[in-house]
Amino acid sequence: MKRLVPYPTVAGPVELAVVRVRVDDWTLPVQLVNTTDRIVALHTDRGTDWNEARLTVAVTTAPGALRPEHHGRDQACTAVLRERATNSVTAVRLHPDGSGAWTGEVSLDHTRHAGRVLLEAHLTATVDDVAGRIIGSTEPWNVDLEARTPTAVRTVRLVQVDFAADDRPELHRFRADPWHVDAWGDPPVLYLNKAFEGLVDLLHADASPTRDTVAAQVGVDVWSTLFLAALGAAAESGDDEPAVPGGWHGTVLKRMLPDVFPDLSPADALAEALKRRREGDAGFHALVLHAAGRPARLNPMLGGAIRALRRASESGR
Amino acid sequence: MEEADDFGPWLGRQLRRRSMSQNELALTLDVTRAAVSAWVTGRAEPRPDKKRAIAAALGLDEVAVTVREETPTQAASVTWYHRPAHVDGGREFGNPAAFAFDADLSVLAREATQNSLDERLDNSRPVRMRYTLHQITGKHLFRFLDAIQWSEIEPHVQAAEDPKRKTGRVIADGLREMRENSSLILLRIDDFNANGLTGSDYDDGRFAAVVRRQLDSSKSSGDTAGGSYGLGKATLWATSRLGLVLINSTLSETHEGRRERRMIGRLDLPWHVVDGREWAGPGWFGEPDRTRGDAARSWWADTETAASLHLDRPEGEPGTSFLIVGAHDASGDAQDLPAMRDKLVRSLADDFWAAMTTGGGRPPLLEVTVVTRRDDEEGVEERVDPHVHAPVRARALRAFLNGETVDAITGPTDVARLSVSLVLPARKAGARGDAPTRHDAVLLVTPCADDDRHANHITAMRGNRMTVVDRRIGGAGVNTVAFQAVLLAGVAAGDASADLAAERLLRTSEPPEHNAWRRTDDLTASYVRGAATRIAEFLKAADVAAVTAVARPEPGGGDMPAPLRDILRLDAAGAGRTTGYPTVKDLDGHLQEDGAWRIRVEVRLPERPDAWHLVPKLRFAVRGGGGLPVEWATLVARSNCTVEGDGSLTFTPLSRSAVFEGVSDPTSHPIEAALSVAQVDLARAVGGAR
Amino acid sequence: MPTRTTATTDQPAHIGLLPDGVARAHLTSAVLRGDEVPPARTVDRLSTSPSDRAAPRWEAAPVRQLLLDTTGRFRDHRPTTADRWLAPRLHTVLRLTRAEAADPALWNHLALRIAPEYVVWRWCPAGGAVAASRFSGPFHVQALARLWWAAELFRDGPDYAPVVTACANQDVLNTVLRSQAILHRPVAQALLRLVGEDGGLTGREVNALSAAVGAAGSTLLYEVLAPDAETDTEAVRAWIGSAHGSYVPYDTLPEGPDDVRVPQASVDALVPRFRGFLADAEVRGRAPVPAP
Repeated sequence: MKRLVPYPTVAGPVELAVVRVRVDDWTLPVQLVNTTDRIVALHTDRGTDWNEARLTVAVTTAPGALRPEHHGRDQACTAVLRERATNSVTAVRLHPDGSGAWTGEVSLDHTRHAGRVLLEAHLTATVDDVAGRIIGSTEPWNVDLEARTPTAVRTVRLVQVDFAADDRPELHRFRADPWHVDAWGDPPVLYLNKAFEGLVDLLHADASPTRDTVAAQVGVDVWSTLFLAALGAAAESGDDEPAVPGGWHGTVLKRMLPDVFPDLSPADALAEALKRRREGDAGFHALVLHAAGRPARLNPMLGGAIRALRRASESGR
Repeated sequence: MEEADDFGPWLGRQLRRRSMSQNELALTLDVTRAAVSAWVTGRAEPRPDKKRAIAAALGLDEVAVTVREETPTQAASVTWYHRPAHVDGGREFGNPAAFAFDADLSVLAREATQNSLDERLDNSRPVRMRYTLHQITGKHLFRFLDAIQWSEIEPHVQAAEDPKRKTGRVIADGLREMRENSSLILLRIDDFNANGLTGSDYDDGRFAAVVRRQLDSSKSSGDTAGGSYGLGKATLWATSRLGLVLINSTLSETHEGRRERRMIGRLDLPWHVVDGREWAGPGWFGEPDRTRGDAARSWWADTETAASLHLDRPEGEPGTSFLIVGAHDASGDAQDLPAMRDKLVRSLADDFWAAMTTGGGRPPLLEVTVVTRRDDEEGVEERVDPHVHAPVRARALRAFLNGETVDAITGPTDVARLSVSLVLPARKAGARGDAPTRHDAVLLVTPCADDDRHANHITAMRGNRMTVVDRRIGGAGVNTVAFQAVLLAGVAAGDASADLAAERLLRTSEPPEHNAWRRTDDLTASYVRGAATRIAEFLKAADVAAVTAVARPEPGGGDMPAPLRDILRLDAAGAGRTTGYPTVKDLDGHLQEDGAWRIRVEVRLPERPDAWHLVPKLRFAVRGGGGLPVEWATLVARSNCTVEGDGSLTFTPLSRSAVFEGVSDPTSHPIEAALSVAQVDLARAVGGAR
Repeated sequence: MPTRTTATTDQPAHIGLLPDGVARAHLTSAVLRGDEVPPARTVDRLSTSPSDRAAPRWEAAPVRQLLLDTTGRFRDHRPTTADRWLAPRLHTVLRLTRAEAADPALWNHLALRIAPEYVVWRWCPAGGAVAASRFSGPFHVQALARLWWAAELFRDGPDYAPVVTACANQDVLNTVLRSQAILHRPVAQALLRLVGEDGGLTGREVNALSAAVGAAGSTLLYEVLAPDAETDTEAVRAWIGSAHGSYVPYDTLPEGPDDVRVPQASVDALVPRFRGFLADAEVRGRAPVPAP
């Protein structure tokens, strides 16, 4: 979103690099630090029993981008760790290293964080006699306590299980179903019923019209469920004017709303969807199924399957 | 100061100059032919009275014989010899070896530097090389042309111009450039602490390998004599538009009793006709050898001659200087001096960064500088620094040499040291029962920036640390940290017998360009079946080891059925979809004196026949939140829209963009505007037409 | 006041974790009206335990007792008035790390299994039903999470006095609690100082101030203007792990973890600025819509 700031800000990118990560007394291998997607994965083979992660960070601006006569005096750089889920914020002043970068160490306390922690840095200065003004910010990093690998890929979790299993009481009521979507978790979970004869084998088999048709059907179920769950999350935010929520809820809404209401902005589309959901009209349900078809790849999968079947029957003739 | 010439070679030279046979001298002095032969070959030295007689016979004074003075007019006795055309009418239109290479400056740098590296004399010190790009014009040019007796070769060069043939075209370009601009580029390549062009003028040896022979591969002539000057030397001539290279060598061991300023020039032209006479093409600049039909042979030059040919060298430092006359970059990439210098530096860095890297308290194998100068300017000499031009790999190698490698990479400059095995195939000849069967090569892996030119590359080399392989590892970069890998094989890894055996194997598997390890005729001839496969396995293992060292853990869901993989991805973007609703394209604005925001808003509109009817919403941003609504005091339409009474906007149907301006109402500001960040978006007008 | 027709029998010994999905499935209209409690045995089957379930801090009895005592103690008052009393005491009884408190399953279990009576008492309008999100919802909405988090975010080190100030004002709980700016402790304390001053602030003023603080936070980095002291994670850890069953005073304010206090200088630096925001908003004569 375009924004206007009433004083000069730093031109060009302000970049934050995570140089090294110490977890208690050992150092995280670089493979767990993804500098392209800005992700640190903290769930390692060493387990979750650690106290503190210390991140060495360096913040840089484009050479010559920061000018005192233009951007004010008392220039400083502060790194901030922030996690909404645990309401925890930690700010650390970084120090100029003499070569135009600010460096320092940010400490992440394990008891104060649970999932994805944002790490960003802000440049501040006294501008027009107002101290502590933000004149530049970095793109945030994600320090992910639950990630085993620093990938930006987020997917619905897949659990293949017997729905009648003793340790799955929550699935017992769905025991006769081929699959079940739990859209409450983060990430949401797709359960495939191993006790549903042939289903898991079919999905793992080589491509076939039947397999692709089933997969597309699963996809429509998953995405329509996710969409409704995301709408629910938006409704519960407690705002008078519901905003697109964060996390996977926001991702799903941003992806599907344009197909539900193509000529509305996301905010308007969300408001409209919430209204239609409250009114419970069937036309809305049809729109949701329509929108779910795209991420479920319904048209290509089903179209390809039908074509394959036709080809098979023609060649069999 | 040069040591005194041995008497024998001196005498032989004097006889040659006078076209006087040993027999004639024997008759004149009344001694046996065998006695003269013994003097010339150095087996015996004549008594003083015989020396006086020799002086008389040669028309010299006695002192000249004692101090073995050279003929003072020596430079004048140097001349051009052109090889007559084959009597059978055969014609060659270029040096076949030169065609085997894409002879641009980078190939030249690679071949010439490799030769020097392989000719290193004192292994405790680096070979020093200097590449000088020297542009001469005007009187400097004419002086140089005089020195090379240009008038003598000009007809030949001109005759070889031929717009229909590659070589002929290049020559034509060279001549035109020289005449029209009266300018010539000389590329001089010096090496120091190298063997120099030792050996006879004609028989096996380094000199003959460079000056006399073509397609003389190093392997066939054994591992020592002339060993290093293989096919690559042709690139020297291919780099000259005129096919002309002059040479001055300081020898590491005496030849004819001398070391300093052994000089010769060679002109490589295609077949041509001058004054109705056919010429084979090549010509040599040197001293006429009466015993070989006045063919030119190398001569021992004085310092003035060397200087006039732009080939003066400091005394006592063995090595060779090549002067490429009319140098150019055959690829056409580098047209002027700075571009040629840049290309040279880049090539030298890419191919020899490792040889130039220092570590472990030892000097590098090689030091290279590049100089550019014009006429008699001093020029600027720049060292090719591996830490500047190949910083990541040089850092990796230095860590290895300094013993500073680590097992696991935890920081951006860490270097992991791994081991990669090469199963050594048996040699066909001379196989011994106790021959080593496995070589452990060293693989260095270190992180680099994602956008590094060499990201995810592996560079492989053996003992001389010249880059043999430099390629991107397929499949790397998908789920790996960006990295660079260096594979040190053979003697680069160590000096155990297995390392030496691997060095020999890999060298045998290099094609003439030394740019791969693969099946070669030599390999097939020297090693048992399967040798090429072992090498391929070795390279594959290195790739795998490098990728493994920087691979990220697999994300979960390895058990995901294939058709669900894409369907269950949450983050896949709605790729390539244009928005179907109006959006704010640009905001411009400032604070007014009264503390209100004045904002100009540019809107992008999807084209449609019905008017868009929207409300512009001004908000003050909240960190981590949505924003606080602020009201407009005034709204003014600028283009493609009208402001309605209720503060909404109606956009002109079918328009694709619109502009309006607004001023905020300070009484609605949740905070003074000076502390705010303003943002504008467009919402559906409630109750309005959609 | 809704009637409680079903008494919860066989109380669980420990606090458990009840995932959102199954929690929501049991929030029937009867439960939300307070006519029933969720089926105990089913809920137990669907619940899991914290990894260190044997630790005394997971005992269910003290927290259940506290919540039941709250309904008794404030029987004759408006339930909102109980918040300022309950919040610090709930925080003392529930020794949680922030990471643990971030798990909605914990709050689901407390609300659906340990003390549904409290949720109904506090949130059920006469003749109406409790909103499902008071049982299972975001931290600033869920009946118990909002009080625990208010105590956690508004305490000044070991001192719960600002928590009492905060929870005495429903606008602070409804609006300020979810503002990102107050996660920086000096901002929270400066704001509460104005709230707690003589005369206090009206709900409208609280909302206006909170909005102004949030909006100014887009250009001002409070972390630089008013630095906080580093949290004493060791002390907090020790407090969380210390023996449970310690006596929770009902008539005097309990003491919180031996955490570092918010630097007074930082609070002092922000107070006049916030006062200015407030005066500014007054001048403008209108209270903006609450900040999200």
